[in-house]
Amino acid sequence: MRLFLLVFICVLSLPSIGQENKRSNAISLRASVAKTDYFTGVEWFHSLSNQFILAQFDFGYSRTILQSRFFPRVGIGYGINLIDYKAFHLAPIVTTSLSRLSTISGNGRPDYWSETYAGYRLVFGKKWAFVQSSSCGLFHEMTYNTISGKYSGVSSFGFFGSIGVQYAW
Amino acid sequence: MRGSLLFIGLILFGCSKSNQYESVRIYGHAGTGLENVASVYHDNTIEAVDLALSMQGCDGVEVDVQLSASGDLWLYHDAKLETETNLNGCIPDLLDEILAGGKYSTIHQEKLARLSEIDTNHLQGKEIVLDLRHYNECVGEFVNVAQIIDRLVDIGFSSSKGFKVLVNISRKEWVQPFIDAGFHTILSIFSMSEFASAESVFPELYGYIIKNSDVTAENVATVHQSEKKLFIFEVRSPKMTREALRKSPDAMLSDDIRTAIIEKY
Repeated sequence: MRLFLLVFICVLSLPSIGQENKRSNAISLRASVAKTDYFTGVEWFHSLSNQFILAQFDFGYSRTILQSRFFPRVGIGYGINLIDYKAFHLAPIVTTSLSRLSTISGNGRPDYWSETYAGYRLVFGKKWAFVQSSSCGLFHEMTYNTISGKYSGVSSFGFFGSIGVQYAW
Repeated sequence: MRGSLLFIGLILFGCSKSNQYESVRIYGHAGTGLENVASVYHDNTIEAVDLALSMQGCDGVEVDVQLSASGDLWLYHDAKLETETNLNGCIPDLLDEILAGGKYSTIHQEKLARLSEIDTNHLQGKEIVLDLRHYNECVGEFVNVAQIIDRLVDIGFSSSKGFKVLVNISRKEWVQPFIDAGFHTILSIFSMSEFASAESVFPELYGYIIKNSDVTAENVATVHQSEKKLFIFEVRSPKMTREALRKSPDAMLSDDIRTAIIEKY
């Protein structure tokens, strides 16, 4: 644990390799694949020195478009610019998200999924860039149990991968 | 702007579901679906069966059943255990003591389960389809049908106890023994020509089960004219699910139970 904290503090205090990226905000349009559906949506990026935060909003393609059932997924993330050299940026990230789906419309007992993942975010480009990220980790499903009459949850392994186009300013 | 909002509204709500599929029952194939990447549990486990039965809109489950060398009934899909578990060989060759130590190679390491471990309280008002495996691939022999019937009777999966048991048979020689033992017997068929010949030989069959891609709405109507039930399997994507529902079968064994529930309701 102490070793982990030491490494974490060192990474935070060091400037990232290169320090070429001076743009502090970016927005990307992305297509993603997750355990529950294919998603499409937007990601907002805000840089704080060599760290950054992310805010994400996506919706499940199969459920929303093919099945007319709105399936939103909102998330936040945090990352550290590990390599920031010319047009190439690589950062480890942690994200957490929540998604919600009503299988039976209007009954007020939707299913929920929370996902807490670690992974990386890769950017090629400057003002306009190609973004790819992958992450995996804890996947938690909450469903209404009609037998017990209560919500019950189960944890499992989940994954998330996305590609997108980013505009930075 | 108003045009965009109207477009989004049309996408989200334009295809709202109606009650036209009310008569089609939704079963989870092997629990919450066979080889379903979105499922948190492995197929044919107690956990997957319980989760499916607890879902709103789920009318029952289908499970794959195999007879062990000790004479008990176990839930497992494949012929050989090494493909999915920590064990080797075929269930009909192994004793219950060995099978009791079987675990799936998944994150939850769900244990290999007996049919009798399914909580029948969770089945109340619902239906369970037992896909009975008749062949031991390891030795190339057929399984003893009388032993299966006896065990089903022993564990209470023969008479009505608040839920309906349907046995799915793919070996024609097994049909009459199950009908004689009083089971609701469903025969697996691959084409409608098989339906015609089976009808003449086994008029007491409860129904038939067939792949979604091998049947049309007209075929379903033909089966219903004979006052038999028709069950459809191999249904996964939203498109396939919609196609299957439009055929108006009596039930659909879905490999993605959430997709099926959404399409029905």
